[in-house]
Amino acid sequence: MGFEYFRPGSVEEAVSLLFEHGPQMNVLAGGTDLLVKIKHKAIHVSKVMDITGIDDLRILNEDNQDLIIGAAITQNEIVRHPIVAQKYTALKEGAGQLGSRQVRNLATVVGNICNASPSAETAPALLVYEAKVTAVSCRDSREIAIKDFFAGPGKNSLAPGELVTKLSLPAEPARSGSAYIKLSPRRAMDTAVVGVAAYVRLDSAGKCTICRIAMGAVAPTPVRAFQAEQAVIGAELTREVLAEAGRIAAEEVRPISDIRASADYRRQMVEVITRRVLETAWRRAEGSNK
Amino acid sequence: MGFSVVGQNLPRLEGKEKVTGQAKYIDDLNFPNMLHGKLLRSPYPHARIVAIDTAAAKALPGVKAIITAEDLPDRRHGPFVQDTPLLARGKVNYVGEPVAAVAAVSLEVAERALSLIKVNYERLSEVLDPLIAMESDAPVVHENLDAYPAVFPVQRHGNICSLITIEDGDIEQGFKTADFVFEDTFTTPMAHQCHLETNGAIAAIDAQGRVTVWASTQSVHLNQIRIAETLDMPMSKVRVIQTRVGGGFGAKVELTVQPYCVALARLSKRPVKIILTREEELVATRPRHSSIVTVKTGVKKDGTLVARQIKLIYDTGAYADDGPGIVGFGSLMANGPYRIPNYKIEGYCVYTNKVATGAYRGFGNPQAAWACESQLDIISRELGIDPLEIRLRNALDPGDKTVGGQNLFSVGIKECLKAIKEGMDWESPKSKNRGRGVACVHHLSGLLASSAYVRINQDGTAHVAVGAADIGQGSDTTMAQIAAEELGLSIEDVAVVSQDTDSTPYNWATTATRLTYMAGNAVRRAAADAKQQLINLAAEVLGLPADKLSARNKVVVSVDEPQKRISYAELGVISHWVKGGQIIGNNSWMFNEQPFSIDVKVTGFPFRVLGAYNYGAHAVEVEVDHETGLVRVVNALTAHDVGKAINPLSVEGQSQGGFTQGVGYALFEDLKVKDGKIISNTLLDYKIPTAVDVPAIKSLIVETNEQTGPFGAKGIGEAPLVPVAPAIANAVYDAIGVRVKDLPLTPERILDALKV
Ligand SMILES: Cc1cc2nc3c(=O)[nH]c(=O)nc-3n(C[C@H](O)[C@H](O)[C@H](O)COP(=O)(O)OP(=O)(O)OC[C@H]3O[C@@H](n4cnc5c(N)ncnc54)[C@H](O)[C@@H]3O)c2cc1C
Repeated sequence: MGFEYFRPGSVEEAVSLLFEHGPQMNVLAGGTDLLVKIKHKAIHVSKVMDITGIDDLRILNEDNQDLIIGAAITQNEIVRHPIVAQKYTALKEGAGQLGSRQVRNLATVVGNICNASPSAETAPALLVYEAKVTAVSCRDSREIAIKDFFAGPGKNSLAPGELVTKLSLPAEPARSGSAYIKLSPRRAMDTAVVGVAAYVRLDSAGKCTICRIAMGAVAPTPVRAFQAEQAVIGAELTREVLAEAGRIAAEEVRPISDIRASADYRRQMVEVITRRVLETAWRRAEGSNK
Repeated sequence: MGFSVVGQNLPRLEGKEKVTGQAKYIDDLNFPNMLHGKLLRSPYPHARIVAIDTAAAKALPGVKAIITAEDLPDRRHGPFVQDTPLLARGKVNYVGEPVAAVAAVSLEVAERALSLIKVNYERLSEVLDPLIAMESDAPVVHENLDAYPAVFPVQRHGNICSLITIEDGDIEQGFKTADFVFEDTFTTPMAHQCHLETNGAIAAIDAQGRVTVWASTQSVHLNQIRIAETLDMPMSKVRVIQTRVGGGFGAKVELTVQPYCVALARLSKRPVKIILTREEELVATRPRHSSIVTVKTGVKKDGTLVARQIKLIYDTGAYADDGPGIVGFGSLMANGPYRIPNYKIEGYCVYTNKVATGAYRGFGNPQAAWACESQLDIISRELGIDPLEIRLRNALDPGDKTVGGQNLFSVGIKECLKAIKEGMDWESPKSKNRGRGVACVHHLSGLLASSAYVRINQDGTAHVAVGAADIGQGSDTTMAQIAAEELGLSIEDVAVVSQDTDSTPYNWATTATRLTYMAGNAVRRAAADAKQQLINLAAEVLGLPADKLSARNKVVVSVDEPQKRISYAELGVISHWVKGGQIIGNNSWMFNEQPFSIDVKVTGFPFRVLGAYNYGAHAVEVEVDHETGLVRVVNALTAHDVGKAINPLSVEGQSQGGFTQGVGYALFEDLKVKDGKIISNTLLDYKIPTAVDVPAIKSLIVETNEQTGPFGAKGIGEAPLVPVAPAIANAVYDAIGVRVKDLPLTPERILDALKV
């Protein structure tokens, strides 16, 4: 099970190592997905590049009011960050329910989305904030919209030689709110049966101007519930609107039956959880004057 | 009687060693030239082995030994029925059954060697469902069933590995006198022990051909016997040493990897280590039996139980292992701690082509209690009697007889029920979606034999040797407390000898809630023997009659003239240098009450002696989300009658650990089988509770004085797991009015029940 270990000190060095060694080189951030796969022999790995020694990837701050999350930032750093707690509640709630405290101390947000599990805990939040992913190779650098980043179960849309350096989350104006609810039988160390994030922005009259809903574990990739969102935009907060959004979201998803839950249960839960998370996000928007 | 060491909340003797990471577990041991072993396992639930070709694997550099059934004595083993080959012989009976074993210079080489062994299988039709297995035209798991020796009067045919019946009173008449008769069927899944440390062992052979095995085990003695039996060696050539053990819960009683280590070490002439992976543990070791239990109960309007008929069907998988014992024990426990005059209990232990199942905390009791304690709740609600009250009305009293007719001495079940009623504030109002549930347990402390000896050292301190394997539950500390109390020493003056068949005398195993009671009895009696010898020697030295002397606080002192005294240290020197030689007290002990009275009809029962009964009652409060079906346990209270609590801190620890495992059994745990294969093969998919899934558990101790136990003690180990699942299900009913009769109580099952 031995592999060669690299620890570059800069992004330039990292991308040239990726270029030089090609697909044999595996990026390691927290390693909480990668090492599990190596151990279970799901993949055979001969070279590993640890990116946690690169200072440029350790950024976590507001830049022109956008929130920048470097690729070496861990889930617990996210959970503890005051700006995240104040403005990006859904992300805090996603990161805060990933694995356990010990796992969160190692696991990165970027690793979570690069791993591209359909149930990736931070993906629904990043989808509702319409985050941008910066991918750098030794030739160029590009931004990928988060909704285009997931390509299938365990597949992201990075090209060979590309390294994700950071995520940017747009600034959050006042009267907006967000939330994430994870449904899992066990209250820690569990994979979401369904995870839903919602983002709501209101006008001064309390009508919804922007609504985004995203879901995990109900399709081959984390997905937006665009049709459900449409039912909310322009509406005021009522029981009926929430229920309708839940119903539509449940119709939009394509869940599977597996060892953790049946497709039927997942669909039913999308309805329940969407309604609940939307209401929470809405109440937060009403209460916010950021 | 005032105690000085017994009854103290003493921390574990080995606690510091464990929390500082210095404890040595099996995988921490390594020897020069040691090889690593791996097992090749069957991919099919039922198949004939046409041929095994190991040539390519043998040729792989670094491979030092390969064995198949051909290389082993042609014999089957098993604690109750000798039906299990060490390596599959002729056919495989479950996915995961060991077919060959390899030892190589590294794990990687051993794994590669496995992939080079070619086994030619011819698939046979399998039987996976115990109900189908019981039909006459089902595929047969063991064609030569009748040829297998059994250690008890086994009743068997077809795929029925054993049938046990216990009948007393007049069941027909009983149902006739009942005002109401209830009949319900309940099921439970296979559940895994999930001891944190997986099974492992190392074997090495010395120049005399003597084998030493280091093992993570619940009994060095059982390991020694089984290794000798299966590999045709005299016990004098087998030595087993216990390392620190990271939990067992029943899984480490019988052999796991030990005999393969020995066989490979004999062949390669090098030490061989095998450590199971978590996946191997989950798919191919011995989990708790799944069950189908049908209970028919006749009851009077006032809640008095008058008749009960129970049919238990436990799926033992491909091999009997402890199955007949577990079904027998489950049958014996099934009525619960209640007075029921007329009953008929039938227990079926059934073969299927699934992993062989075995002992897991509760030993057949959790399945039976799930059914009977759930049904008692159904009955109480139907009759409009409070579920705690109906239990109090039927609960046993001291002097009563239990199932089979054994006399009961100490019975604290009513005190347990009263303690939780008060502690939970049972009748106080509840908030929405919350419910409370109660369930009871009785369990045995006992079975088979234990022995101990106590040496008085030259300085007056003592060594206690007893085959009581501490597997994390704290028995070393308890044994030291019992010895210290009896000898009049402090805990620091007592050393407990580490488990080693060369130096610790026979004790069956760490099972059956039996160490405090059984090994504790042997230790107390051995200590009393040593103390008497100290007194006798002092009598000679002081020139006083022995019956005028007492021994405590490390001195033997005259009852009448306290200035006449001699310290243990002085006596130690005298005994070692002047007179008599070292003082050694010893004792061998078995429980000797008759299990069955003559008017009870019993057939096929697998035990000859039982033990003392301990009792418990749990109350829980749950919150149910009726939209998602999620159940959260928000409040938990346990009360156990353990006799005298030798170490209350340990009793609390056991209560809380058992409760926690019970929460897993109730809500999450399910070893799922698909096409004969266990698919919950990781701890992600086989879910045990985490710290946040379990509330703070309040554990109450009800002390009674068991006249047959050491200082009045009985035991605690298994009981706290048993009532948890029914208590939680009963609370779920209380919260949302739906009854789920199948474990675990998954969100989907709760929602389905709500829909009906
Ligand atoms: C016990 C346990 C519990 C868990 N619980 C959860 C849970 O509840 N929810 C959940 O969503 N996940 C869970 N996970 C999975 C995992 O912890 C998360 O997905 C985590 O965020 C991954 O981050 P990492 O830094 O450890 O990734 P790594 O393992 O280091 O990397 C993951 C993958 O992404 C690639 N990668 C990493 N960084 C980059 C980069 N900058 N550019 C390009 N590729 C990159 C790696 O090559 C690898 O393929 C759990 C894992 C464990 C072991």
